[in-house]
Amino acid sequence: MDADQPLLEIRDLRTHFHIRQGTVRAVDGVSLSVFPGQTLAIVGESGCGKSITAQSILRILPRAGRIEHGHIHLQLSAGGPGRGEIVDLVGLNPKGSAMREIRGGEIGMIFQEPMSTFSPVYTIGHQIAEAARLHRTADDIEPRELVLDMLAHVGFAHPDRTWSQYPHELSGGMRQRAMIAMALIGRPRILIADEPTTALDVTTEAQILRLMKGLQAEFGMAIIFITHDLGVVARMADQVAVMYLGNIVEQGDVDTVFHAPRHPYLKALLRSVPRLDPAENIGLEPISGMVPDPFSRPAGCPFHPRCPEFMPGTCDTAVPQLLPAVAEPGRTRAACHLYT
Amino acid sequence: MTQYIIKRILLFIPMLFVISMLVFVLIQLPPGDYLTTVLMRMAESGEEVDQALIEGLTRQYGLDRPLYRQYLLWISNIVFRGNFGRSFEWGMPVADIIWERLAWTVVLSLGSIVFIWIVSFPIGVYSATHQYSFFDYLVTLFGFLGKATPNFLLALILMWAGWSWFGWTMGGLFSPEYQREAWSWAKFVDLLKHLWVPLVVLGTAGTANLIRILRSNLLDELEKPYVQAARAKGVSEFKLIWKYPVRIAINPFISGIGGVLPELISGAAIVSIVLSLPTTGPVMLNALLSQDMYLAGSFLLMLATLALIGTLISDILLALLDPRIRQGV
Repeated sequence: MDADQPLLEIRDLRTHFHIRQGTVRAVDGVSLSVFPGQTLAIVGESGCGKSITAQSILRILPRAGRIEHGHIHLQLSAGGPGRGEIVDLVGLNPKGSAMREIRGGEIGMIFQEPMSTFSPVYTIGHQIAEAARLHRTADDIEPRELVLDMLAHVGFAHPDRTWSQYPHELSGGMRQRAMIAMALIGRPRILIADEPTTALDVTTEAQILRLMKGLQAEFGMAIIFITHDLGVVARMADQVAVMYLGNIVEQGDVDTVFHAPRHPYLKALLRSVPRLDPAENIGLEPISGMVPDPFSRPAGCPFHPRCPEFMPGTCDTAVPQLLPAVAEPGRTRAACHLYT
Repeated sequence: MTQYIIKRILLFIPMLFVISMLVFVLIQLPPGDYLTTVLMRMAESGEEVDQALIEGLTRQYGLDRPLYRQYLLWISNIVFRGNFGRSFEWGMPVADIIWERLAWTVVLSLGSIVFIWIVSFPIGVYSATHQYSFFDYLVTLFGFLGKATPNFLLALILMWAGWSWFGWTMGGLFSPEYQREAWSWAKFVDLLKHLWVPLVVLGTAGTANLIRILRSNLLDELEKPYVQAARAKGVSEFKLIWKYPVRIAINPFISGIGGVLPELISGAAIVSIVLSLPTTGPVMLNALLSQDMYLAGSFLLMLATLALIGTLISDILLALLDPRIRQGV
């Protein structure tokens, strides 16, 4: 497998929601690449479309949501039934068997709320084993053995006991570990983590993040890490994509994004993060204004009503492109008229 | 689990005692007693009222004793001798009157629960998983109609329609020629021919209700993260729906059992009169009107017992269904 070849490549994805009040362009022209073994962080405020992007990849959008445009190319694993072919997930039937093979088998997902991502009426073991039965059919090992092994991997001291426990008997952090075990039991090559630590306290968060890094090193999977927490991004990511109102406004490797941000939104976002460092303690600076109403997106650059560097006549008329078109080392790609 | 059930059954005993006292007090609350009703009727029809006869009857029925003595006599006869007393109006032991009617009531109740479940379960699930589809709207329309139509009116309409279009008589549970026959296959078939009418009448409102409840519950559950998580691990859509959200949304089916028995017995009285069904409703209504206190009291006591049993069954089933209830979280 070529490490330069992306595992997953999203091209100009547009996912819209058609509801009674109108159309919400939740994702509106997102392009991303995910490389083997790397972590891509998607950062943004609530409602910026980061979770919808993830749900578009797995084709598990809510009923009102539809992919209107774009491609999601996934390179199937060479050992699997797809034999290393590249498929466009947008072209697959979301309820079809090909898509179901991919869910959990090629791409696993963990969710924000460990409290409610397990059904309360089945045991942890039963629910993880269900995924094992779906995706580990080639293995000659009992699903129970696979599950116990995976539970031990994610840090359960007594997998035997956990097997027969119900979700309500585990703490939030333990449930998130169990969730990770369920997502990884099918040995996916990509793990989508949708705010996996948002509902946890900081100590537990640190443990879960460490666990994910360790598992990534062990299994070699790529991670798409969705979060609004820039601190988590700094710890986890190789590549970062910053989203605002359904668009990627800045993209680059993690060091460049933090040390040489270009887009006014990212700069403002970085200034709004509290710091403990006294030298730089110049007070918190909130971003002025509010995220616009989803039904009335601003014309031109979606950020222009809140932008400190707003240029009348340019920013409110033309939509900026993500430039430069091809990534250059030491420089992020930004969608802003300041750099065109 | 076994401990839980035993504990619940033991709790029945004090509960039944309290209920029996309440029942006895309640049926004694209206002014007068059975004898005043008899006297009134006699006076109305112009008969001579013999004072000595009245006193004799009063003593015979124990109506001259204080309330608590009457209660103790009644309850100890039930507990120690299985004797529910005599009905004043029918002139025979209460036990002879109620058992068969109670049996039919239970048959009809269970039958209509099964009817309600069979009809509302698939429709409710379909309606929720195909929200705002044509069928969903259709079911919703019929659901509201079914819920808004009083049972007895539905019974009258069905009887009228059956008679004027097909020449069927739908009252009762048997055709006249089988009424006094011993049980046979032909009689059973005849029963089934008649049974569907009360089942439909009694079940319609409950069905409409349960479809609405199941639909809204399931709509809530379908949005839950655990459904998405199950989908994200590659479970097929059909299996997913039945295994995950439906399993949670069927709670009202189970918890409804407890309420169905007493509801059918009290609410079905008018339907039973209209359809002339041999259930408890009409007789109980009469017993209450004429202050036939041992008959009415026994009925009420039986109904309370049925309600308790129904609640126990639904509690046990709920505990089996949901580990959080089982473990007392």
